[in-house]
Amino acid sequence: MKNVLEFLLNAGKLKEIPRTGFVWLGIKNPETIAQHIFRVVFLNWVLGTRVTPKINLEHVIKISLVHDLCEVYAGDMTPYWGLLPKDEKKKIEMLKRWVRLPKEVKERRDKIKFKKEEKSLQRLIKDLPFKIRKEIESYWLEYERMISREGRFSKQGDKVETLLQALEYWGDSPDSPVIGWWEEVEDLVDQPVLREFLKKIEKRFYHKGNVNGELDFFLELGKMKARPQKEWKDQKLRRYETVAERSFLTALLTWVLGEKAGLKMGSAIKMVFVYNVYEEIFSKKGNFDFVLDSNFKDETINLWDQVKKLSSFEGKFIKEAHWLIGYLQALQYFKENPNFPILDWFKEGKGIITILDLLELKNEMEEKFLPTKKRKILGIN
Amino acid sequence: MKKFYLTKQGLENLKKNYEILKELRRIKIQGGVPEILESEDLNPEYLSYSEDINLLDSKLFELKNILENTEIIKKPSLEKQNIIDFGATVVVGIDGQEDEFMIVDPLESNPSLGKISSESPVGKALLGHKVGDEVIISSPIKIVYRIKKVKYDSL
Repeated sequence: MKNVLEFLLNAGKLKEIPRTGFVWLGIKNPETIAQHIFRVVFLNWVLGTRVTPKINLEHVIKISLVHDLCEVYAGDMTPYWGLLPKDEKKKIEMLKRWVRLPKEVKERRDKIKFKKEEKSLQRLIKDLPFKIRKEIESYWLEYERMISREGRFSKQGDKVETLLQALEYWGDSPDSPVIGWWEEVEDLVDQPVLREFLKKIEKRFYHKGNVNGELDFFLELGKMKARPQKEWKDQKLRRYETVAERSFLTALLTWVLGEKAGLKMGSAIKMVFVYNVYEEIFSKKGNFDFVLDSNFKDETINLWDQVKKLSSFEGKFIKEAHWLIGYLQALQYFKENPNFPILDWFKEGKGIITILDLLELKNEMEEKFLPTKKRKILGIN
Repeated sequence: MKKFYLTKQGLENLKKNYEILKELRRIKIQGGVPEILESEDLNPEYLSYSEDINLLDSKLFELKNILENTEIIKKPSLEKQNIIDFGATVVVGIDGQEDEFMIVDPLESNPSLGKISSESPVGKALLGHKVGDEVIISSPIKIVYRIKKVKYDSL
């Protein structure tokens, strides 16, 4: 189980790595890679339901979830790597437009980037069970090389999500860097469902027109990127784990341990995202105006219910995994600050985890972050 | 049956991917098939396993179908080599910068490698144009592509 814990701790670093392009362009506290992955999963899932002929949504969700895992060690290598001038003004000017290069140079640069990222991904997953490792590698490859309909769709959705985020930062201001992202999607996006969605984005941001509630739903999800998980609201912390980030890491845990437990993975990973987000959005508002597609609405409410009511094994697993990832974050906060109230979490955890593999992981976490010496000081056992 | 028009390299890549998926399927079944029933209930491990295998089988089927219906793109006749068609490598000028890419079937596209889908806005707009033409892409900001060169040497 040590391998799973190490994997989660390392993948969890994506909660702290901001997206380079937005940093370079001066956005204060821009989204992290984990936050971006979170909305890519949702966007590709929701829009993926309309693709014809049908694509496999479980596949799409898993590809979206792993597409940037390589950035744990490789960093966020934007298309501008190695090209930017030192002069700050010239650099910003270059970043405002899409990179244009000879084909042979593109191929050469892609080879270097690919190797670095592949190595980074392999380092991250090296101790995971063989089957899962192979699965993650193959999904990443499908995205990176666009070698399946699901991989091509996921990559295109990934870029559409980034464009949407850029528009949320800069709006339609004529001199903004958003044009560079538009140029990128004009080269890349050929999928009709995504093209149609881009038209809606254009209508909303440039012509202030009304589009259906689907875009509102994604904009609401955008807020979850930065919204702290509710458990932290009374704490003073260096940085707050957000709703998006909890979902991201819980989904990885579910994937890595759920297979062995026999979870129906297709619905289990969806359940992770729905549970955390719907608790945030809909428990308060109590309406589903955003989600217009009735099939999607019915499916996701059902998934949410399964976790709330613990009415399926998947629901039970997700509820426990969600708590466990919160506990992992709490233990990390405690490591940074010995005054963090870890005792409450420790006591709560006594009866909360019942699934064997999760229990084993919990023990491993406590051994790492609360060794005997520390427990004695805290007066716990 | 739909025909796919790929470059030689595109076809090779597709064959490689087919082999990767076959290998993944082999790894999946290596550990043996879990029991279907666990006491009187369906074994969740079996359900999860069979979902994965079905998924891989449908991918393999899809790829096999593409491989069986692919034609390699041929160079157009000399007099048509200044016109942009599938497989053309195009050099364009855009606001003082120069870009170069090949126009390919969506299956083969990957702009990071300089391969743009014939169904993307840029690919669609350029098809059928020739050296000297100006093509405007406008969503939502107008960008002018000035076609400088059209080549078919890499086919």
